[in-house]
Amino acid sequence: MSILLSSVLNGLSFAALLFLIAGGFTLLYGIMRLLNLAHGALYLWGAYLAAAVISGTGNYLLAVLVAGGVVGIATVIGGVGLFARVQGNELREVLLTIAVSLVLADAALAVWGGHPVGVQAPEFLRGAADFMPVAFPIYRLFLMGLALAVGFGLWYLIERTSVGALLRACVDNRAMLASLGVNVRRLYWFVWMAGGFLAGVAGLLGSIVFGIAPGVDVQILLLALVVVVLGGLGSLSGAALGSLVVGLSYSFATVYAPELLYFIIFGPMLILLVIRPQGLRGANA
Amino acid sequence: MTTLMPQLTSRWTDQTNQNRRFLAVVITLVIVAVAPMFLQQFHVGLLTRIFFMGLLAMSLNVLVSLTRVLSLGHAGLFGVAAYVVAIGVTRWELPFLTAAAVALVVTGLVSMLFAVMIVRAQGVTFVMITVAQGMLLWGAAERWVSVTNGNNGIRGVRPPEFIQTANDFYWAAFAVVAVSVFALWRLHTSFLGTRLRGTGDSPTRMTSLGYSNAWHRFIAFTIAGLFAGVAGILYVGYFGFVSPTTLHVGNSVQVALAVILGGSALFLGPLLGTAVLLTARTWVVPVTDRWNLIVGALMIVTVLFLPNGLAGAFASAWAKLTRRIPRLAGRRSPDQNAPSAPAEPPGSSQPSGTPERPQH
Repeated sequence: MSILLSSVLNGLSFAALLFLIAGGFTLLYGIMRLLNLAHGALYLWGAYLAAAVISGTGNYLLAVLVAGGVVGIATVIGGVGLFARVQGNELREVLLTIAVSLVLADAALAVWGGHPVGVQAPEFLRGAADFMPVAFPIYRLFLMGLALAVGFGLWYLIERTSVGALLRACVDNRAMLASLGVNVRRLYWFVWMAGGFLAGVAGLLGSIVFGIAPGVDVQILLLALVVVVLGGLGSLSGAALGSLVVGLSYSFATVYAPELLYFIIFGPMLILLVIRPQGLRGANA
Repeated sequence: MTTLMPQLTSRWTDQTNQNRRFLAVVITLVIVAVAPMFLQQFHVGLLTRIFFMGLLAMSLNVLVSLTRVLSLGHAGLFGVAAYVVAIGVTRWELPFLTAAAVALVVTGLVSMLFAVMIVRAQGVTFVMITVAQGMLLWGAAERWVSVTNGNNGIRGVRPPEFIQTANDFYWAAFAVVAVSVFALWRLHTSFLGTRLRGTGDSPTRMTSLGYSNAWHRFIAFTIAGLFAGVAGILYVGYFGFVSPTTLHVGNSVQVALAVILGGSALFLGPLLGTAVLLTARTWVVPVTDRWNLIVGALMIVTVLFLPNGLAGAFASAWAKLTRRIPRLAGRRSPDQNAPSAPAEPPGSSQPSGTPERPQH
């Protein structure tokens, strides 16, 4: 009973973290139609930067700003400098994001070395809360709350604000939007920035759970991929749903069938793709 | 229309051209076959690796140049074959060739299973699903310790009895790769190849002509997987060792880089790309640990500045040269502007290796 409960709780908190990780990824796809395979590398850099700030100053707010800000600005520069040149050609864009991720991951290895780094949660989030049969880390409860807040914030931004209306218009008809006098380029900068910021902050949030080590970037990218493919590319509610499915199946698989972990994560996704290629919440293409 | 032209002309051009082409192929084959007698051990090894990794890249190019999709899980199928051989030889104590046959069957089945999953996907979705497939196989290799021995990998795979020296392996690999390349060439020039190309270039027209795009994608993916399996068998025979790194997505990325670096529009382009990459690697790795950084940078440069790869760059440079100095072009009429090396398959003269996406 207590194993079951802790599995559910673990699954939910992992789902929350997955949603936070997949947020930036799904945002870039949803609005720019860019499959950002460098997402894991951006996460990695966010994690390392945050860890450096925390070990230097102990200030978590500063760590969030540095990790998100630096990664966000780097994403804007990369996006404007590299991707503007190949815009409109999906496969070349994808290849470019892979190339960037190789460079970033190897550069991280060169700068920060190969030793795993651990990051502690801030003081007020340490310790455990006591549910009757099990104790559960407060940080993970915090993650659940944060995921709800971020999810709601993004939904509000996209569906209820004027910026969101512009973004949705941009997805539907970029040329028309530009001809109406909207500065589409600036809108893009905003999206690059937001996507990079979310990836960088996710690095901090995730590193408290997973730690940081070379190779984490690929695992993170993979989790983000599964989540958004399951949910439907570029769909926010899909990402939430996908996170729940993957989070819960991951947590149960680690307890009950650790050897088959990857099959249990990817199996449902691959089966789903046969039946419904656009994902659970994806629009009919 | 333009894609039809070379096919017509290649039938109509004089016989001497074809004879010359045949002669060139034979001479190249002979030179490559006798090469190990004059080379050092190290270079024989390098060439052997170029053979089977080049075959892997060429098998990926079936997808890239014909059906116009990019797989980033291709090293996974390559690794499946390598693992099955390794398990067969070390655990079931099968002879190498029997294990290789089993490996081909298994790789074919896995390819078909994966193909079923992706026939309806295109473009970015296709890429994503293949990444996930590749990582699924990697995860199996890493986690399923009781079968795959986890991260330690499986070592001690001996090639068949009749292969004693590195030169023997070179010749065996050369023979297998040459036959495979010939088979791929036949595929590229066959009617099936034309239909696959049709699926890549204009799926709606294929549908209206009564062909099933899904079926052709399925065939293309299975064929690509099978040849990746052949390469994987050679790989494990050469190294005698296989580990999860073999199937890792990073490996798939390097294969994709070999394809675009060499030039997917040219039949032998991926082989050229592999040769350049592997040779560069032997120079770089002793000097610095930053090989991945270099691969990434090379990839950025290729994507941004060499859309048709090295082969395309050479070809356009050659075309420029022959236009300026007509005599160099020999009997070719200068306005034909034929950038083709002898091995270009008909109809692949489309300039870009990747389909243009309609602007929205």
